[in-house]
Parts: sequence; C-alpha cells; structure tokens
Amino acid sequence: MEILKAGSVSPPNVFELLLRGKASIPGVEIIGERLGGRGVVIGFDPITVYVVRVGRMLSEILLDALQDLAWLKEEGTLVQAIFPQTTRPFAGVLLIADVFPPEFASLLPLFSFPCRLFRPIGVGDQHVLSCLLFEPYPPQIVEEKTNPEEITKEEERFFSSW
Amino acid sequence: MSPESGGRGLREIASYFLTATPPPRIGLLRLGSPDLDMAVMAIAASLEHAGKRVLLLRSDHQPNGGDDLIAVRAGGFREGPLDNCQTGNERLGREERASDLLLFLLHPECPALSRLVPLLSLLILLLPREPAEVLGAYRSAKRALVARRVPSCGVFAAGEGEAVATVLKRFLLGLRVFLDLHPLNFGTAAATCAREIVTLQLESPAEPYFRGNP
Repeated sequence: MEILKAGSVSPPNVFELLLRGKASIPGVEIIGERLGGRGVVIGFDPITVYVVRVGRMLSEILLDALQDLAWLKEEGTLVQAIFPQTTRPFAGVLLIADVFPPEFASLLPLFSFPCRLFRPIGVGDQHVLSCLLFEPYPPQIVEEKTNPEEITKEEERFFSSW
Repeated sequence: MSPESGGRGLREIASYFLTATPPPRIGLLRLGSPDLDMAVMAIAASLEHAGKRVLLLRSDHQPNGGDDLIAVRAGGFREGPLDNCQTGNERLGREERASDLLLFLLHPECPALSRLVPLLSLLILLLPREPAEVLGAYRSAKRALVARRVPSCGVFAAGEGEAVATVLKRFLLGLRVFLDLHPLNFGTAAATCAREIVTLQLESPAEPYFRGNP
C-alpha cells in the first residue's frame, strides 16, 4: 500500500465516494445527495454550512462554487426545512482540489465568507484505491497551545460577525 | 404583625439559630457595562418577591449608613460585602444561614473570581446589550469557565429588542459549540430569570460559605 500521487483519484470519483459516505472529511458531514437544479452538494460543521466542489485545479471550480453559494443563500430556508441539521449561522464554500495557485491561502482572510480547502490523498496501489483521505490546505502547523483560555480564530469569527 | 410576616419572622429567627443546610450559591457574572448591576438588583428583588430570602454579596457594597454590615435594599433583599468572605465574621455567617439563596455579583476583573467560580452551584453570565461588546464578553466568559469546575451555567441578556435576543442566541450556541457546555437560557427579563432559578433544583454546598468564628 502506498500514498498515491496527487491527481490519482479523479474528481468525479472523489465526489462519488463522499456522497456514498465511503470517504469523510474530518469535522465535516456531507448530505448524501445533490440538491436543486444545480446539483449542489452540501456539507456542514458545527457553525457553518458549506457548498462542496471538487476539481483538479482550484481555479476550475472556484467560480462554480461561488454560484453554488449564491444559490444556497437564496434557497437556504428551503434547504434547512428539508435538512434541519444544516441550520447554521454561517454559509461558506468547501473546495477540494489537487492543485492550488501559489499564495492562494494568503487570500483567504479577505473572503467575506468561510472558505475551507482540502487536498485528496489516495491510499492504495495503482490498481485499487484502499481509502481516500483529506488533508487541510494549507497543511496545518500544530500550534503549541500556551493558554487554553485564549480564544481561537474560529471563536473570534463567530462572536464578531453578525 | 400579620400572619404572613409573623411566619416569615419565625423562619428567620429559626434559621439564625439552627444549623441548616447552606443555601445554594449563584454567581452573576457581569460581562457588559456596569449598568447591568441594575439587572442583578432586579433579579434579586424578583427572587425575594417569589418567596426566596436572598443575600446579595458584591465587592462594591455600600452600607445603608452607620456601621451596619448588611443593607436591606428596595425589593426586600439583603446586601452585604463580597470581600469579607471567610474572614470569620459571625454576622455574615448568620445572614447566610437565614438565606435561601446566596447571590454573588461578579465581574471579570474581580480578584476573587477564579477562587469563587468552583464554589458556585450555578453561574449565570449577564450578557452585554451591544453586539460590539460580545467578543470581549465571550473572552471573559471563557477565561472564567475553562478549566474551572462549574456544575451548571446559564445566560441572561437584560433588555428588549432584536439585538439583545441575537446576543443571547449567539452565546447559547457559542458556549455549546466551542466550550461543550449546555447553558441554561434565563431569558431577557428579571422576572423570567428569577422564575427559572426558583424552578431549578440546585444542590446545596456541603460547607457554608462563611465559616464564622472558630
């Protein structure tokens, strides 16, 4: 068994595994069906509901993701009525891609909505995919927690955005 | 003396002399501007009105006059100093025994906060009215709650209007998501808050707060 190189798992395959519950993104739950005429895929974490897009290059999916987000904001009430578990104070995008433009992560704080990025990692061999994992992008540096009483960036965002 | 006041008087006399179970302690942590102290006074008065004998302890207590340690405030509740705790003051020990509830008016800069929080039966966060103050309020609340044993906590937002309701809702969700707490909702009116407190079955502490003279 080995870690397959980036791009070994095609985006439709990644989507399929996510929708069927055969792969999971840490801390995010995925609604296992496409919604609306756009076929939007929805995921959620404790405070945000996301539209999910998968592609080889981030630039290929970003525009579609923003249009999905606009759809979600318009149809949010309907989505919540069907899937009450998606009721969250924030709406954002969750993008899964093999290739991210250099320095893209530095633009994230400028977005007016939550944006989470992941890279798929295939584990198996060239013939059989054993499992699919997702690595946050940019790779997270484990911060040494000096004071558990300090508030995190996520908490700051939650309590300062209205 | 009316039968009602006579009954109450007897109860007070009895509680002065009998060894009773110490009353539950409720901390009211002010997370907004000092005018929230008025909300604390209103809650204490509502509790007294609901038949609970309340002793409110606060660090900025001003006696009514003379050297009387305890002041009786409008609304009928008694008020005493917070900084005299555990100093062996017999009067405070008697007042505690005569009470159904001990309320502590706290604020984030209160030097005794970290020592007091683990001694409480319930901690109620008094939320700010302005959304701009919410982040600072959450920071103070987290500092008070994290790594300290609080049996239960709740939130109260004094006032009316959508902004107050939004602050209350956000705190209820935020405390649940980020601190894994299940805060009780004490509403936005003193009378509602008092009613909720009365319906709670708060456990009494094992030891009285004021030890009295050895």
